[in-house]
Amino acid sequence: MLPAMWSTTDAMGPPSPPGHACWVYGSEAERRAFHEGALAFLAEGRARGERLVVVSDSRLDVGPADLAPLGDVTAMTERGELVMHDLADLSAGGGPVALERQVAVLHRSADAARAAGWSGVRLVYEASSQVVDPNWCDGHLTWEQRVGQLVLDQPLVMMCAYDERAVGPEVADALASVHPRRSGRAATFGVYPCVGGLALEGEVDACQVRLLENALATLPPDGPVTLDAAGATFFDAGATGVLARFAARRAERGSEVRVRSASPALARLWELFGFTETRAGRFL
Amino acid sequence: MSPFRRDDSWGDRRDGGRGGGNGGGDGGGGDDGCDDDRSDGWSGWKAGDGFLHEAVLYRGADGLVRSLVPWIEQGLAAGDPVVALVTARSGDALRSALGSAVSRVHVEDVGELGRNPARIISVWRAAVERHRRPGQSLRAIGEPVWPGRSPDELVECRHHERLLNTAFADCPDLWLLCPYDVSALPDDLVAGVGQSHPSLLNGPTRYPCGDYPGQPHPASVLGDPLPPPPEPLLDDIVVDRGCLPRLRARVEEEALDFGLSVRRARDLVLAVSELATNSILHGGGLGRLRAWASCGNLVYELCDRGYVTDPLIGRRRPAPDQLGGRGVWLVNEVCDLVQFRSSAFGTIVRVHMRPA
Repeated sequence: MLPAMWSTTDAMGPPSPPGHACWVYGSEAERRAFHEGALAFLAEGRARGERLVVVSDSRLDVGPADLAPLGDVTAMTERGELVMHDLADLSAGGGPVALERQVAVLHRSADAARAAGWSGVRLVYEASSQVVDPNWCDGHLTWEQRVGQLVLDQPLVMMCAYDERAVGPEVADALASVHPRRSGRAATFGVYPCVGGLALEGEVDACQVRLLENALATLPPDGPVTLDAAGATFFDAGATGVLARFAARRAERGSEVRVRSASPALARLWELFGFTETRAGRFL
Repeated sequence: MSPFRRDDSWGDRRDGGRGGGNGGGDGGGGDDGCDDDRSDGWSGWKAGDGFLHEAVLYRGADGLVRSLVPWIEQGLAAGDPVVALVTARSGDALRSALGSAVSRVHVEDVGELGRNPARIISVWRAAVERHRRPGQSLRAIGEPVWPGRSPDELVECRHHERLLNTAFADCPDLWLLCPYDVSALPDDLVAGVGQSHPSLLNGPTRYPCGDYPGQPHPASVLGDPLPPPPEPLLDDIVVDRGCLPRLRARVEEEALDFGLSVRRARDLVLAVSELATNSILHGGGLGRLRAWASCGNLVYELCDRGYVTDPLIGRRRPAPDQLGGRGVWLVNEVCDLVQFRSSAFGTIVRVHMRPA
């Protein structure tokens, strides 16, 4: 069983896949809680016959002993049930994320697991060192959105973890906001790929509009966007303005933004502002 | 002299101001010997002369018709558009008295729209934009005050009437009459009308209001006092960046407990959240939230150290492509009553919702 904090989005709105979670920790106590949560997450995958993959920064020094509660680590490793990577295997040891390469690695990893008879891949990924420089954040957000799409298409379930002390609280919030599942004190909303579109859920007020802008800005620049906003439990004037501006800008480039199944909160704001199709994309 | 001489037969003095020459000047030659500064109110003003904001005191529906219909007809004859935002009762009276001319007068019910008087200025602004023609005036009738308004609402109506003078100072072709039914409204309320209206129109006669304090400095209008808050219903809470989700959950619960519908509770949550966000972003980073019940309504008050100098904050409809500054407008749209005050000492905003 996962800790209760992971059920944050299930109670509201669109059936979001559980496949992409984010855990932000900022103290030793929270890091221990993350370890416990990660173990529970991996144990759940093991029960489902998934291959477990742990990617971590060497400075975290996650070793077989840490994973012992899962079972006989040596035997699991020999069977190919458990794979441990140093982050350096996936990237050149920090620096702006090698986006395409990492996506390809994840893709291959899922294919290989299935070919070997596992039902899928369950991945815990400590990626703080990928964003210790705030300038890398946008690229990393784009990568996270790609992963969000990947977990929809592939038998892949992934938990990303970030050390707030290393990446800073703003970057941590920005990263959390593109995950369907977020640890309790991180961003109060999420924007991430869902089946048939882009899910927008949670609460966005003027204190978070910059995060929302960031998250929207990392979407692929072309093509139509269908927003599933059934789970947008709270939206204020500032947040609605950001969404309207996002839609208007995409419309200028010929990329339509549709909002399907808007929550009552968002529909009310749209009505109050009198937004129309031409001004703010199509509102279904 | 006082413009409110209750012994007059209000609305029945169409023959009153014959002697008046030009608008705004001394009329002289009054028929009872003491109206030295009254003037011919109907013919002395033309479009472009400056915003006219005048009170009209009337008695009952018949009095309203006697006071306003000849003025409306004169406007129509001159080709001026006429718009009335009045109570349902006044609207019915005007419609039946106007006969076939009613098709040329836009009569709207002030009841729901004007429940929160802070929504009215944007309606007038829209009417001005829609009807503006060179050389023509817009004749408008606004009745924000009607019998049965709660004391809290009346405080806000008076504030609204004062703000009108600032809001349309740039609008020289608007002639706005505010009818007050003296047969049904409390005496003390009627006695204060001159403080927010530069003049009183009685039939065709204009009386300057001696107690009108003149156009206030725009930055001081929001300093109008508020009645002291009663005992709070609940503990005060300090509002800061991290508290907003919790604050919203709490307001929603309290609103539902108080008897608001789900939809209106959500509106109240939106309003309080907007105001709390303003306190955090523009009011020094902190605010204080209190709640109480007043005149049967649930009231939330946000206090912070910010100083808002725009007297018309939240009273202009935001432009479609406007980036920010929509918050207070939104609060005015969704709440039954909003009291926004600000001075160099800080900002206080109260939002009222009735249990429905």
